[in-house]
Amino acid sequence: MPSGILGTALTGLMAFQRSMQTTSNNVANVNTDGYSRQDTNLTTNPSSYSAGNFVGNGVDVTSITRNYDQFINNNIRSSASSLGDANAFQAMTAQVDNLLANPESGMSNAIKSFFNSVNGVSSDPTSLPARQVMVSEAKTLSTQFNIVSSRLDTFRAQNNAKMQDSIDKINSFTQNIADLNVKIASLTSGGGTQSPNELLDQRDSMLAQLAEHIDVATLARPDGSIDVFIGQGQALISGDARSKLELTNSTTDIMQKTVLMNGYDVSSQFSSGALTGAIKFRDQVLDPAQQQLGLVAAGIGQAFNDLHTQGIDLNGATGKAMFTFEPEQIPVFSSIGNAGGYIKATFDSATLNQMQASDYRLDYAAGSYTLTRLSDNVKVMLPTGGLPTTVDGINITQVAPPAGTSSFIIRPTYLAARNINAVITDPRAIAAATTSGDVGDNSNALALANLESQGLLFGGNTLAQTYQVLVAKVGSSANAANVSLSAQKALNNQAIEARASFAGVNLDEEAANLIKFQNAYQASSQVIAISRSLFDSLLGAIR
Amino acid sequence: MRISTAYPQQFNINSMANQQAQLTNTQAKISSGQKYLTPSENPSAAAYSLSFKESIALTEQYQENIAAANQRLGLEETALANVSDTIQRLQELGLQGVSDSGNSTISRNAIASEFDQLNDHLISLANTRNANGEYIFAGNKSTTMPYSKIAVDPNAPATDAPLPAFAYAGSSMQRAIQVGMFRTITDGDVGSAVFGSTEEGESVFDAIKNFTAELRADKPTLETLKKIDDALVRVTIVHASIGARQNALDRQKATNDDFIINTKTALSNIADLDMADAITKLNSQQNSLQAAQQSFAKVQGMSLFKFL
Repeated sequence: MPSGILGTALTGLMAFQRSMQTTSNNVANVNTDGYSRQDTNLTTNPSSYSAGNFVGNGVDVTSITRNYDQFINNNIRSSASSLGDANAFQAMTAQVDNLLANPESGMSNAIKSFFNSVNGVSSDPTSLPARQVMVSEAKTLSTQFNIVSSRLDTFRAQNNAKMQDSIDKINSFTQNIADLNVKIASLTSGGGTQSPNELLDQRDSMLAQLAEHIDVATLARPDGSIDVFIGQGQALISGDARSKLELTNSTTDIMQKTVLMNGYDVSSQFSSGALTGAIKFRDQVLDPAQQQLGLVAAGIGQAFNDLHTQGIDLNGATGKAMFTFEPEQIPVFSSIGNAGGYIKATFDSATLNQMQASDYRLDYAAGSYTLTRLSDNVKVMLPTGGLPTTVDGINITQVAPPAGTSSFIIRPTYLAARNINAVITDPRAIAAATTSGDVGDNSNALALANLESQGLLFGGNTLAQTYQVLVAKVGSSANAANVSLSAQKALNNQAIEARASFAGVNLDEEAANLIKFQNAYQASSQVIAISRSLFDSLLGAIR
Repeated sequence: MRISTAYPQQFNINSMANQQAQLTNTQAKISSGQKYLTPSENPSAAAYSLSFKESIALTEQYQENIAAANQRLGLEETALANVSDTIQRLQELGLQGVSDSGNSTISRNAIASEFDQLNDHLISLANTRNANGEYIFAGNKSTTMPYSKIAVDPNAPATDAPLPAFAYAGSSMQRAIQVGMFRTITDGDVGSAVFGSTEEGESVFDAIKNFTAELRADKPTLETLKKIDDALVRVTIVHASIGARQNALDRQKATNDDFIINTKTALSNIADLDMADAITKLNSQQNSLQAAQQSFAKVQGMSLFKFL
């Protein structure tokens, strides 16, 4: 250790040079994301005992540390998770909102025009042009159902792609964080007080980016590495080891995606982040929307067919079904691993008003069936004999019994809008009459036109009202999503602001520090100059 | 309080972007005239406006139905007025024929010829068709000619009972048209109700035919002529009921018009933009954006480094 005036001045020079270097590093990183302002920490050198006095030996740079606050960083992560959640949910919900409400792209105009054309036939039943218009409008209506449904399918594909993207990012961030853990541990574990500030900053900002996609909890280890958990303590990162997430098709429902971690379903293990937003969008907006839309399609198709097949067409023949649902009225999906069995389901005309916008799961075990309505997870009572039965407006029959425990997903409404098709092409085949041979008879057409204003569907809603329920539901979800997004943005901004004011670089402050260190540096240089002149005067004395 | 240099800048940029978004939103509303661009802005208003539009469209359809019914009833009324005139002429001639004074066999034969002509005219009125080519007195069998004259075989022996010369081939059902939410109106009358049904031998054509035969035989009776009077009574009743239905249609049309106007007003209240309000908003948003831009430019220029 240097001693004496010269030595002490030298420690000052070195300390202030280091300080200015830190300041210059701060200035250089003023716009770097995730950079934490660094301080050069100085302490006095141990003094030496000389001739009964403790003489100071200058200054030493003990460490360069970053301004870090655990609480602030946790806040940033949790607000990033909530924001990621709100962002993902809002972006997708807004699209559905726009699709359904727009009179051109939604269903309202098509439903209105169709019933106008039915009214046209009822006031002029012998007119072939009026009948032709109705045939065309029926096709337009079914096509519009198909289009809206396929738009919803597109949103589902987009949402699935976003989930996949989130999972890819989560996997890549966890890999990077685990790698950083290794580096940090190797630099820190050698003991000592030096901290690899840049690596720590990098890891913090990666954790924040990870949190945008999935909410995580962290636990620091003594060696400087951290463990990252999701849900109730499933470790995503443990030191240098990490778990991988993957997106796969559900085994019970082939149309559904689930998130697996090390082969286990963890879909319900996280509660915020973009991945949660996407799942929430699917479960709370997209699926119900698709089912409600299907309820309208199933309602129009079935109610219309019932009346139409009771009427008489212009050729004197009994009316045929106006709409069909292809490939089948109600699709039933067998779960993977089922022991055979064949279940069929159809709409029940008499109880059409009890049909709900929901899927159903039919479980078979030990010779008996249980039926669960999935929208509210309610067990639906089956008669003592099991199947066949009629519940919630659908007939369920067993064509062949399963050989063992099995389950089936029954989707009365989910695919109805996709599958509906208007099949009558001959205008003479519209059954406007109820009496054979009475070509001017409009009584059946009148009844068909009246379907528009009847409370045919669940809750006594008309067809149009059932669609309005859908628009209002999605609208409220989108509204709530907007409110929550702006709230989460504000919270996230607060967290970022808190971090910025604590750890961000302020150029004025750095400028002031620079002056301070420059002055000190110049003073130390002056001391060296003075010690030289002292030495010179001493030399001069003996010359 | 300590603040970082970079954050306030980002914050200002974000807030300017926000203000710009709001400005664009207001501008889009002004250009579309809509109060809400998406249902999410006001879900209940969106549902109401869909349901209002639906009611308006439905009621407008009823108005079209009323126009069609009115047109058909008008056509029927013209035909019936003509029928009344014809029957009245028949009554005059009939009374002339029955009275003994100054009537010869020759003049009764002349009256009988005119009766034949007028009967043919009445039949053609009973077979009136509308613009679509439908027979207006055939009920639901609107493409079937309701009355056709069955030619009497001129060589048939006089002792044979006269053939039923007029048969109603139409339907006994008449179509109803929806003109209001809970109201239907029949857009015509079946021939059997206007002209009498052949099955009962009561049709006006049969009465005329029988009276004509009596004239030719030179022994016209008041009893037979009375049947023609009865036919006029039937026509008058139907005629009056058409007037009543036309009145009902007019009232229904006025009710529907009121409903449409009221609903459109309600729709406009919830869905149409208040322009004055929107333009004021646009101005104030523009001002605050400008202020933010100016203050940003000023504050950004400040740094201690400038003085070093």
